[in-house]
Amino acid sequence: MYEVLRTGFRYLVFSTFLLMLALAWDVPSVLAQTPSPDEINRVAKQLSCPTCTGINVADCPTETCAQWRAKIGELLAAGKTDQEILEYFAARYGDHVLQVPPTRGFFLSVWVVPILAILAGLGMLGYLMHRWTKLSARKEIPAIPSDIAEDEYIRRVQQELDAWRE
Amino acid sequence: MAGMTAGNPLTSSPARPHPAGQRLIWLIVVLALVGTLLGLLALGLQPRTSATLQGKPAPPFEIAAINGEFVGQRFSSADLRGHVVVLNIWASWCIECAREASILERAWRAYRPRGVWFIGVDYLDTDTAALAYLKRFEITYPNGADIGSRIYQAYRATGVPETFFIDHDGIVQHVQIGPIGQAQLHALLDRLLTKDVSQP
Repeated sequence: MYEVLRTGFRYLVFSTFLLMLALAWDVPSVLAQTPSPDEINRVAKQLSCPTCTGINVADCPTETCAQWRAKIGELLAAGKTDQEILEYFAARYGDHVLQVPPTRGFFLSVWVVPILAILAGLGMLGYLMHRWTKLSARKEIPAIPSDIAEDEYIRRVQQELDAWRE
Repeated sequence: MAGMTAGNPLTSSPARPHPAGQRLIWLIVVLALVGTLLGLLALGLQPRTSATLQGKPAPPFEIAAINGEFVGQRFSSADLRGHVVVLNIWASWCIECAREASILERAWRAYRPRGVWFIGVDYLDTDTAALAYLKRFEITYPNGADIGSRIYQAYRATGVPETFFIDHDGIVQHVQIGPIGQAQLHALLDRLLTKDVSQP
């Protein structure tokens, strides 16, 4: 009985060793060679279809995008990061294939112009509000100088104004 | 009513809200904005298709060949100056490109001895698909990827295929939008080659 258990244990250890060896040798390469559709689409969603309008490479049914998805798979399998793959596509086909415009060259204006426009708008609004406040302050009716306050007509005007202010 | 005479503070007008200088600044700002908008509109309305290149100097180009005997060699507009050049922009996914592929290859073989260079510019393709296409149609003239789509943009192409016929002086003599037929291709090349012979 003891011998049987001992032999079984040996087989178990040996099988485990072989299994671990197989995993160490094969599984990482298999995993690396076959990125899942989700992994490919994660990158493909960040690229625009170059031959259609308003559609990303993940959702596009054209042959071009199918080729691009295959290329993304190849690059993922080669161990490239998402950012490296996006940079590859931008360099190979032009920055316009990126869904999010890069912060360089002409595309920098896409980021800078809206911020400048908002700042300019706020500046303009501040200036106009300041001017309107100043103008309305100027329009306030000045107090009547004492040397003419005794005039009957002026006195009546002053009374009307006081009544209107109340 | 004595108090209503000149100098009465009640009748004196307040400071002008729009002095002349301020109005001038506003006028300049408004004119600059309108001018900018009109300029952008004019730019947008300007035709920027490949056909407008006809009769004008060909934009510079450079490709690294990926096929046949030319693999790894670079071809640029500067190097090919003095030759008739047929610059064909294509893609492996383009059905119309496949229609003219064999015609272009046959013409290349026929006109190469006469100093005509055919250059293929592969647009928006993967290298694998491009090489499979070149192999399928047995294309032997130099072809290379349009890196960054720069050649496509410089030539203002509006799709594929488009073919540019450039004379010995580097002037675009004809722009073919869409596939080209054999008779038209030969006629164009004969005309360009004859033109050179007649020149001093």
